[in-house]
Amino acid sequence: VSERVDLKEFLPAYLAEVDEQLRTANARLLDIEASTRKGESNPRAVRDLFRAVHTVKGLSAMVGVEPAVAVAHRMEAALRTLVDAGEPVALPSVDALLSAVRCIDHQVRDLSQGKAPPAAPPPILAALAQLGTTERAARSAAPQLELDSTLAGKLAPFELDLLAAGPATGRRSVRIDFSPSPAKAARGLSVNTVRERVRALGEIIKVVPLSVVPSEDAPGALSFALLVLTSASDEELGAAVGVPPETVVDLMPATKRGSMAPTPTRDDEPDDSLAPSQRRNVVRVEVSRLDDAMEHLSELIVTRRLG
Amino acid sequence: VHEVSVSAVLVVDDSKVMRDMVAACLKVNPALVVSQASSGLEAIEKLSLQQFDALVLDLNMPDIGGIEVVEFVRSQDRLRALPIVIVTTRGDETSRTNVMRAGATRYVTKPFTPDAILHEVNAVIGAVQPDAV
Repeated sequence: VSERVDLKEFLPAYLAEVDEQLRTANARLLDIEASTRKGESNPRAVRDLFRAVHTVKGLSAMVGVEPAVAVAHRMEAALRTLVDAGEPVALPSVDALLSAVRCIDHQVRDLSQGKAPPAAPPPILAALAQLGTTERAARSAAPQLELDSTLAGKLAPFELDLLAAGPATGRRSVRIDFSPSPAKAARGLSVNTVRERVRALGEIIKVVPLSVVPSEDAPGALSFALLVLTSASDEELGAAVGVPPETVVDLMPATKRGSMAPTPTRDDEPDDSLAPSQRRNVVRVEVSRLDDAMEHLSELIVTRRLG
Repeated sequence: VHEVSVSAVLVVDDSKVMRDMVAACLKVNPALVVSQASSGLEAIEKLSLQQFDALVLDLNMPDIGGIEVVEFVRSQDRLRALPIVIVTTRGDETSRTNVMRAGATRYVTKPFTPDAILHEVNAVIGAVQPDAV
């Protein structure tokens, strides 16, 4: 007779990972809200949010936390609509999603304290059901990228838009290819380490695996095309990926950029080095964090008075 | 003495807990050697450099999704016959049809029981059920 696995044994690990995913969800929602206040969509944040909620749903189903599955399922359905719309997420939708995240958080906290997680309040589920009705689908014109059709076909419309908008944000859209091999792996070069290095130099929009003819450089007949928005030089990018700098391909050569000068920032956003939420007059934070901050402030005042 | 050949299985999911759960379910069969990858890209890299007998794959992952991994694997001569078991929360018929059309071998929806995922993997690689060993 074989040994049996009890998935309930994974409950502590489940609680830890769900907590992490909910933090991610909350952070992405604040990013989305900041974008909406600027009149911009943030499809990457919406997708990251979708994935976090999807993971929460899958894990909760595996360990039998049905109330959390119910909320995550409604959120997932709503977010699918928002992903398809590609438009800025309306602020009431952001509020509804924040409430849903808090709801799952409460359910999971109860579970961690040995209590049965409560069902979601009907108003939260009803608000989620309304999501996406405000947002409409609208796509921008096809970008002028020098991408072969195979590669372009692997990208979502919003990813093409991001690459095409690179010059308008003062960055180049480039392609760098990395072919994994045992020799490179022995030198610490794998797709994971290469992505980390390139991420330090810019924003990776997409990594596309490509079949190539087997060679000494690509013994596995595999190459990864990294599509990146960056201000780094070809030399820096080449060094990060372990390839000659001349192999870095500019996806929007100067001739095609035309007059795409960087778009002036709004007059109330003078400093690009600041995060979007810092550029606004309104900052939203979790109540628990605000409590912590108030507590620290109180301690400082007491310390100063005693000092 | 009953000889059992060893099969290498690659479990791919961006959730560590989910990977560990699937791995725990599969390790019940001592004939399965389980490796893990935390993304579709890492999985493709491992598949290009090592030999595996089956792939257990999540659909919704960052960077590239499960369907893209299936399409890539099926486009490679060396990997064309690799059995792929999809593990997902998407229980709708459209998702199932799309993934099977892309080239997946089996489709398992979450939540699944430990026996169910083990049964699917054993079936695609022709392994002996642990109870029968």
